[in-house]
Amino acid sequence: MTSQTFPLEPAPITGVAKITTTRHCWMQCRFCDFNHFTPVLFDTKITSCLPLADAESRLATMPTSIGLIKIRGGLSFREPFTYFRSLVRAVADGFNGPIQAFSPIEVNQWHRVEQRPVRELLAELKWAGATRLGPGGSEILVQSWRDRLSPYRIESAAWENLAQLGWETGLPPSAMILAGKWLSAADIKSHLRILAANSWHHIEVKVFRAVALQPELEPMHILALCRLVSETRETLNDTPIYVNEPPGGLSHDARILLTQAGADGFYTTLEAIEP
Amino acid sequence: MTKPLYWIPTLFLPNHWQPFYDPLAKMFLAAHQGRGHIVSPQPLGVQVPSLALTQPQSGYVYHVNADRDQLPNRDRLGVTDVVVSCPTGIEDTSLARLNALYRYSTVRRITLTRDAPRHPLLALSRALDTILQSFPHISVGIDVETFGWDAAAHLAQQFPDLRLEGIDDNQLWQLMQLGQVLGRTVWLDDFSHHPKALPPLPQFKISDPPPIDVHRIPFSSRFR
Repeated sequence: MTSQTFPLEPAPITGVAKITTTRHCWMQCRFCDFNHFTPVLFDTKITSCLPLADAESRLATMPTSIGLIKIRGGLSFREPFTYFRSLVRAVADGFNGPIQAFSPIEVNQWHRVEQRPVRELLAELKWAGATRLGPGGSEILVQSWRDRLSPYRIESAAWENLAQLGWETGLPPSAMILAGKWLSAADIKSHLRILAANSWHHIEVKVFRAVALQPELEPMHILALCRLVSETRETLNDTPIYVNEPPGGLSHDARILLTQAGADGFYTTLEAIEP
Repeated sequence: MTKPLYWIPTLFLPNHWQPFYDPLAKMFLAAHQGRGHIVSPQPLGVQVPSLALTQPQSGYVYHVNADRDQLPNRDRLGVTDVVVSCPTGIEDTSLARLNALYRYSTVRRITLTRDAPRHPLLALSRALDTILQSFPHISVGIDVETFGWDAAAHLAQQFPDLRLEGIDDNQLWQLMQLGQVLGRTVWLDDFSHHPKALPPLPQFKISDPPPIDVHRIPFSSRFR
């Protein structure tokens, strides 16, 4: 028995406003909340994308404690790239902080659908006011798990190359590890080895939340999460690590344990703007 | 060989005696395979394996909350189960109360509670280290309800001798998950020591994905 030292206060907590542009996505990743089952009945209302006017009015009444805006979107064929670009523009007009807009997955979709060069799309996002690229698409980089949980994703290598183009444009890319119970120690090691080959603005550890009707996909226990964070800290020793909290948030104790394990900060969603 | 975790279901009977407490205790034991600790204001009419009374009575263990209860005469204390707020320093009033009970009675078990704003994790970790070293002959436990599951999980990992208490039936899955992460088996027990191993949590295999048709993207009426 040895007593350990803990920080008295956890690492800084950043309030996040999460903007969802559209919930329609064809990719069907099993861990994603865009994949929730919605029965189609004769009067089911299919919500379209988030209108720009709605986004603007919601942003005007946003709490001042927000330190980061994240914009995400499903992969839909209906909205053109110019819609997403205008939305980023509208957000950037009313907010001075960092805006983490979309991820290599969405950029790849626009690239394939609109037949436009990736560098051009990234430059336009940057012009519209985005300051970094999100980590979407790097939830699971281990090929065996990708085959099972997100078989329609682009290859890991393609994702990484696309993300690294962000450094050229001035949109620093970030990466992620999805902390689910299915990951073994070897999986975590190989995921981190893939991440360590490139440089990232920051790494997000996303605390997985259980998905309805899928009992085999379980969230990670807090002690396993601490081990994961400390292993990430050892492997990527000069990249900031942010723990992305699940909707309910983490307890104060959990934040202290994760700070001791090596987390540099926490992202808590304060405001969710949905279509 | 790692130490097992123990689940001790506990039934607290309120101070005002009711005639249905006897059948209630019987039902409680039947629901937990004859195991379970009962805290009652007076001796029960039925045979129970593990009992403590909230009023001191000779021949019975006295369950005392050192922070709340008025202590009776010294000579009426016998063997005691003490519930006390976790003392974190030499000047802590709960340490003085624990000390008084320790001097005038035979303390069988100590259960520590947490006062969240006063007890940060750092203080708890150090205090538990001191307490476990100071009372190596007494079984020390923590009340999970006031400690919170995150702190309790960490402390159970740090101190393998620590007993986890106050775990309700519908929180058993959290204890089972903790056992899984720490690689320790979970036993159903009370203080009469005839434990029974609990079966592990069900494991669900992640199924294979549906076969991929490489010539189509996965369209359906739901995905436009």
